[in-house]
Amino acid sequence: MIIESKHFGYIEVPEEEIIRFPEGIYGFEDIKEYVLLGKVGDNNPFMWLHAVHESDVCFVVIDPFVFKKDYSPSISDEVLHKLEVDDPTDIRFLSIVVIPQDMSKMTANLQGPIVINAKKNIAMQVILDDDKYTTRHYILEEMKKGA
Amino acid sequence: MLVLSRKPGQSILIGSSIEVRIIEVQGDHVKIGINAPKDISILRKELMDEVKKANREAVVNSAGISLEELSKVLKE
Repeated sequence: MIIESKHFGYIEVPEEEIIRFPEGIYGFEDIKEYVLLGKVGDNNPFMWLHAVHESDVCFVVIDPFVFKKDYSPSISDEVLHKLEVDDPTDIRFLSIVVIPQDMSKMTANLQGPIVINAKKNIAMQVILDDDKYTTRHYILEEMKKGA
Repeated sequence: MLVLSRKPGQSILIGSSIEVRIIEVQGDHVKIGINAPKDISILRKELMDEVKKANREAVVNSAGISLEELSKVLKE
């Protein structure tokens, strides 16, 4: 199907790549369908999570393990159930990134990861009640720590 | 909003499956116990507000950004 993006114009996206968010994303609860763009094998850990039916709702996301190797989000059985997970290895995590004017100060939300059942393309944002994580981790700093 | 007064040890029932109990009061701190089915999420409100705020900022700021530029920043 064709999706309209204020960012990219019109993009052709195969139906099978559409990710369902039955509960939306917090602050955007009415938007239930997204697609991941930009995941070409060019070693770029950043991707776009673009709403299918809203041309201006688009998040930059990153695989959190790229910059925080010891990231250990604990996911409850309830979440696994909501995402219809049969096999825990089907789960992927993405963190939403906030990019300020000074890009080196970009932050990722480790407290509210997007959790995706990659096999069935069902996802939700989970808020971890864990003191270890906040909504704004400086990506570059975390990478330096982990190096 | 329904406002009730309770003493420590007293409870409030919400629907048929949620119980909110006042455990203890110490100064301006109230310890609250909650019994609810596992499929109902229980969160400190500030957490939810923070996540919504971060999400909204993420969308506003993503206009006009290129993934290649971002990737370069990481490699510096």
